[in-house]
Amino acid sequence: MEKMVNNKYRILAGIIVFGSLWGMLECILGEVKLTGALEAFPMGAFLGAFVGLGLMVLTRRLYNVMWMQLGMALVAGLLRFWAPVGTCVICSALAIVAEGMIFELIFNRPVFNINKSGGDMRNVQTLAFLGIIAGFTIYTTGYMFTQIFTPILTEGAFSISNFSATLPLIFGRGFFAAVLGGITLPLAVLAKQLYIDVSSIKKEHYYGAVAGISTFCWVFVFAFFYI
Amino acid sequence: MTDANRLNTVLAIIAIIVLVLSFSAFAYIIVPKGDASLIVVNKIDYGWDVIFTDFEMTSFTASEDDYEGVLVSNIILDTGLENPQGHTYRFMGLDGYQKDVTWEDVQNSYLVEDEHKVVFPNMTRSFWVKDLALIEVIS
Repeated sequence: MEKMVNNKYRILAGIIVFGSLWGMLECILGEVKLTGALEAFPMGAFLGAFVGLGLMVLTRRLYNVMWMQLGMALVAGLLRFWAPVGTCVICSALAIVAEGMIFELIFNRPVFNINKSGGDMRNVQTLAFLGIIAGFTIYTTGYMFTQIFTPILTEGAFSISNFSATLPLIFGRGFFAAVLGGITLPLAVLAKQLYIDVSSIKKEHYYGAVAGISTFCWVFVFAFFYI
Repeated sequence: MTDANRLNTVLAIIAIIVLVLSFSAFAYIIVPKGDASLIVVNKIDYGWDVIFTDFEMTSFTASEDDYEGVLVSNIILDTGLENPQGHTYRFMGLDGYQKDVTWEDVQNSYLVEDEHKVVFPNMTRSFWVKDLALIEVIS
């Protein structure tokens, strides 16, 4: 079994740094519009099922701490909300938080414990199947969450017809999230190159790196959108 | 069957169902729900080129960006619709994405050339339907 990080300050720092990285990627890549043959490819599916799921699985593996990923999603959502340029900012921030919540609901189940040594969660095939389901669920739930809560928060009303008309689009785009999830989960769980023993990193190096990377993410987003 | 095999089988079945259903939905949304060169407003066809040459262009600001577009209410009134405030309006894109809004919302909405989309300056961007194919008048 991979080690559990017990120091609460290390965990908090991990939440901030990985949440900031996730939020920065959401801000920068969320506005990218693909053209030509890739026009139908939804960037949200890439951000949810590759970037978001990948970072959440990786941190679960590195820290082995439940509910940490929801904290990361809150930091990422906050950063996304702080950069109020682009398509439906509140939608994106809400979607990120919903994605974190769905991740916790799936991966906090003992049967899907990715840190358990041996067993099903070391089998590429099982991880790929679970990744397909998780990628699809995380992306589509996040998308649906925004379609429900954005009109309520901004217009003070919710229209069932507007919501139901969006479902084919949500599920259709979810296909890409499913495929990406099937690749991301085995990769993030099994790739030995992605594992670092977080608790063994010297305190000054760890907190220095966390402070530097987190500051870079927030400053970069600020510079990207405001300057 | 061992627990491991059972888990693998259950996950495989659910994953296949997810892939088949989501791919079917994707196939449905990529089939255009109209002609990309036209927009149907209250059952009347308008070419996009006609929209931007025959109707007055107005400058406006939305989400801190400057735009130029045609007031949607002018096009709807051009179709001869009576009592416009007594209806709801459905905006649908070529991919099937649609939003229903009131006449009050329509009066502050514009068609812009970029992405052939409708822009509602006072509403979130989730209401901005791109590649617009249809504006339907609902009783």
